[in-house]
Amino acid sequence: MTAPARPGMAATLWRRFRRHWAAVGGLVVIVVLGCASVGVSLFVPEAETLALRFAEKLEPPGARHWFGTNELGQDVFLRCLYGGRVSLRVGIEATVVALLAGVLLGALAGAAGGVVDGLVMKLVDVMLAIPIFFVLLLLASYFGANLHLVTLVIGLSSWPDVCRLVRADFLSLREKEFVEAAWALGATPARVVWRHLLPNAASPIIVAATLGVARAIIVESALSYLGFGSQPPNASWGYMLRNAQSHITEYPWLAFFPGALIFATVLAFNFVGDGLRDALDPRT
Amino acid sequence: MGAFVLRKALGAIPLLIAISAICFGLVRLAPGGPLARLEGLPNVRAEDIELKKKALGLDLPLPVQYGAWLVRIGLRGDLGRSFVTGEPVAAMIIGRLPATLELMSAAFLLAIAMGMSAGVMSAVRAGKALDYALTFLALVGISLPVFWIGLMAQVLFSVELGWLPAGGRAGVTEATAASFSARLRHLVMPASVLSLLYMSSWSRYMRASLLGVLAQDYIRTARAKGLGETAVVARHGVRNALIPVVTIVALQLPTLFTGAIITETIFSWPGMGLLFYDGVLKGDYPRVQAILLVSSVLIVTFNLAADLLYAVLDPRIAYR
Repeated sequence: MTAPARPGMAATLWRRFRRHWAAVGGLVVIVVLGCASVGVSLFVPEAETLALRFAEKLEPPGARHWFGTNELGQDVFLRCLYGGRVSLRVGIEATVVALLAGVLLGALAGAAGGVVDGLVMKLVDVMLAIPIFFVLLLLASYFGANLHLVTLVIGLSSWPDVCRLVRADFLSLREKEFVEAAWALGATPARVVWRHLLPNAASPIIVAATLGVARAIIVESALSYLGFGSQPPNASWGYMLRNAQSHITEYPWLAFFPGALIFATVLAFNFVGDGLRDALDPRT
Repeated sequence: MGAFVLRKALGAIPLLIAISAICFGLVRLAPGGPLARLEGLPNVRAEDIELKKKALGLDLPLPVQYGAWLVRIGLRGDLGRSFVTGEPVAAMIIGRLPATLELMSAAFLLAIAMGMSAGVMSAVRAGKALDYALTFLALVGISLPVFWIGLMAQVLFSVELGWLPAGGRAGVTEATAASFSARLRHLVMPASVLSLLYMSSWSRYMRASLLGVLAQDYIRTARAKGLGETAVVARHGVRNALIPVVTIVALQLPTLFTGAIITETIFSWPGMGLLFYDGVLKGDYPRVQAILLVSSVLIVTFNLAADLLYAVLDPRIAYR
């Protein structure tokens, strides 16, 4: 595995990825959902999905309202698409935060070794010993429904996995001959890390990032379901599920569709992660 | 061996101190301090809050408060009193522990039984249709949001079919056949829902581990001496494959605790998860803090147990 920047690398990767039909299916689901939830505002402005139409309330799924309507007469399909924006955005942004923190600390620990490594790993141990979901719930209860904060906290709670991956790779890579050669040629530490170590540790980071999005979406939905995540007008799938709970016996579709979308999205990211793992692994 | 255990246990002490400091600090982070919720209540007077602050020692410097808190826990097992009911928090937790342990052990046994068998079947039939089907199912199980599948199970099995109660816990106080059946019927849905994720993830670990073992030379030797395939897989394969899996299971066991919070909320299961959630909603910080601390200590203990178990199971690990 060499740097993904080399020409032809992406084509090889895509050829290997394509063999994994479930992963390709997952990618299609993500692209379709992403385009639909971003593009929906071109056709129906958000204000229209928030308008109250009590004459049309609680209609079952049908030709006029594909996913039915809720207790306020709002179209569930359109609200699901707008909810997808929130879920996808939180999932991706939280993963970016986790990657930044994880790669930075993992690279620091793996490249520096010694005392720095020991300190970072102690920090990882502490993070792994605390029931993170409990902490997330507590912090979310302090600061109310602040989506940026929820995103940040989910991201900051998921960096240890990435950190450990990067550290382990760096520790073995830095003993390799090509790294020694780079040092001998007078490369600066920054150059060694950026040009030689990081590109070679990229595969597990990419896979971890994909699976991380799936995890972040689940965590955000769980927080919203418990009442501590997104709130209207930024209603995510988790919030819609929470809202549907009180009508669940008479109007189960209100809960079915948002949950099914969480499931489909998370499954899609997990499949893509699985496919990427196989495609990036030179041994398969 | 004794020295190994002792060294590992001593190594966990700095970790426990760091964790306790975080549990302490998290509650102090509450906007307006831990008593802010009381200030909002209409029938609470300002001077009562001052008195309460004095009584709780909130007017002292932070390090002193932290030290006093640690001493109270260490010497008297005193985790403080609930702001809401005034009960000792330790008693509240002990009262809820049996329900959570019942749910966790049922989910655990289910996940182990199903996950291990699925993993073994998958590895033995690697690359065949059954393996692909089980792999697909495992990814589905990992991706299912607990709160959604829980609600859908309630709609299907309680509302539509009427087979199982939708929530709660029953038949705990009596020891008759009827109460036992009621207890079991209440347990089935929450335990199955909670076990899904673990079942799926453990089946993947078991598959990977067994595949690794089945490629070893000693498996070829076992086959070469004419041993039947079942005996090869069961006696030489699974037994060795279990070593790393046991560690992963022990490491993940405490997360069942976290998973229980959502499961307990959906099914109104009166355990510690529900106790925590209720505490967060009501701003009952002594309770929240105590549950955080107790669960963190449990996690550290389980990790320690996993380390020791690994050393016991794998004779190649030296007790250093």
